[in-house]
Amino acid sequence: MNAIIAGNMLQIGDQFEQYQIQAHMAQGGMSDVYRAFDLVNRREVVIKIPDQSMLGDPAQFERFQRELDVMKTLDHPSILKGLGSGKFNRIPYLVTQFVDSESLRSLIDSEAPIESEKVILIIRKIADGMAYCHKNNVIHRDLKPENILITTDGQPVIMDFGLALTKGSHRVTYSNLSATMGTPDYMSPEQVEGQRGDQRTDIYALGIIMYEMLTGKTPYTGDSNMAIMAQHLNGTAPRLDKFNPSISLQLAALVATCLARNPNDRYKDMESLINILDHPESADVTILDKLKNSGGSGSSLMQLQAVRGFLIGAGILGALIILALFLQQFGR
Amino acid sequence: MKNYIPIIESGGLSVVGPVREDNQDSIHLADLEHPIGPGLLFAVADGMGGYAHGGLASTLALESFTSNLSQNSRSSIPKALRSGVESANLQVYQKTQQLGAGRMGTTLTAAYVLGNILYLAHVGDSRAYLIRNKRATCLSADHTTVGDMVRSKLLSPDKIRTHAQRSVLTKAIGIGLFVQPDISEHRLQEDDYLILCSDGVWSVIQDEDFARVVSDVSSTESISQRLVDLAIQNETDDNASVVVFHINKLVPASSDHASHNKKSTGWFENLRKLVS
Repeated sequence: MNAIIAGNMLQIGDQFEQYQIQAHMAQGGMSDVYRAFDLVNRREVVIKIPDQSMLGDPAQFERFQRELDVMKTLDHPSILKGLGSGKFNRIPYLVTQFVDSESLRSLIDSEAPIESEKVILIIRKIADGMAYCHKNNVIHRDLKPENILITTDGQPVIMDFGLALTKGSHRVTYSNLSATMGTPDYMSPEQVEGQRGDQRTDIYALGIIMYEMLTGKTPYTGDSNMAIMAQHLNGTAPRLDKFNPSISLQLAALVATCLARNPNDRYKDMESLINILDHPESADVTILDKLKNSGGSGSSLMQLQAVRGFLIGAGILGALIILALFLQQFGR
Repeated sequence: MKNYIPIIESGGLSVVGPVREDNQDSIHLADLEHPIGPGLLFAVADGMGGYAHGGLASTLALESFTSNLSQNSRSSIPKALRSGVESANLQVYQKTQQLGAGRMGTTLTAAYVLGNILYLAHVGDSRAYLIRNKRATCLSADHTTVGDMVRSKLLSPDKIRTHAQRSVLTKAIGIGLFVQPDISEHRLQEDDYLILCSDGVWSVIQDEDFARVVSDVSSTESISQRLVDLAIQNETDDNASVVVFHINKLVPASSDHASHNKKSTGWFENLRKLVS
């Protein structure tokens, strides 16, 4: 088919192999996503085709290939099922199940703040899927509400394993042309520092997601990615129980433990987190005592920087005025 | 202020490296025998994009940059460099549209030597190093997210080479309609070495090792060869390109009419330029 050879967008009704394209769902940074009908198995599927601009770039291509490999090995109700993959005219494609769902992002946008019980219920299932991934040596590294679907019967389904790393796989650099590396909202401090991260990186991201579901906003906000990343490194998320008294101390402590800056201070693995999610009353609330400044040190740090910036600015302005007066005197 | 004629030796090399399938870097070395304009131009461009488009972007950018510069003899050099970068940017941008090639772009780090002054025009994450008295100083700022993080003191500089997102650019030629290059001026001394290189080289070679290679071997040809070999030995996963030039001598110009203009630009003029 010409369309796919040229790498142009497929059209509705186009058919290749046993798939008939029904709709163009999304264009991510790396790939085009289509809804299609599998004529052999008589079911709706999702087809992902790498963006043509990455086809010639081995590193980018490896990322797509890795997603193919990862998805084919995983089988869990909380993980989007890979149904198959193939190459058509040398262009690889990935076929996954089609899930009638909305994203966790749109759930948060329409319903947050979401009540604790519901949050725990959803997060518990996501953690279950992630525990399964970790057991299979797969770290997601890019968990965010956009990458989690919620089916009509409330089952979360994790997708987008493009950044996922199988333990032991070698480092991949990719020349990314975009101005940012995606949202830093869910990035762990160790990722900000450039490490690849381990299972505790996914625990941190899950902590941020919980925080956002419970409050309607992520703990660290700012004008720029840089400001947000700075807070991941140096800030402390405001206490959840102070934000909303209906959130229990224990749940606030659970989220705070996920959000510990040092990975060693977080739950050591998904099983430990699941344990506490199942028995919130057993959460260690002493961690909350360490978060004395409920305003978050992040914002006070920014205030300090703002004051310092103002003083420096005022100093420079003063110096310029004096210089101007001086030059005026001698210019005559 | 005196005028000088620099006596320069240069060398350069660009290789595909052990991992990539094609070489998307391009380099430019001034023709020392038959210089085109009053100054000498050296440059490195590191292209990116699918298929062979990265290579096309870097070649196109260098061609357009050099030809624009040679036609622009009347402007001041910083202005001419800026206009060269703008023209390169537009060329690559338009070519991308024309090809429907998705995205392609390139870095560009260009060194222009006139007299004893080095002018740098820089976009992206290729680098320019000055080696003086056995010490290497990086004269360019990486236009990457990680570079921004180091400059804002979020990250310590030793993390820059190993950061997982090291290659995420904040600026490149050909991505948008406009691009703002860094333009800088540096006074040269005799026996200075300048090294321009793509990130396939500097990401696996520490600053002090650039200086070490320069003190180990003296000819610019062998320095560039040695640096590329070292990059491959240190398992670079990208194309590796190096341009090296050496200021053998700065000969004082006999006629001083050329320096006449310079005389009128005193400290006040410089200050005014700086402020405006």
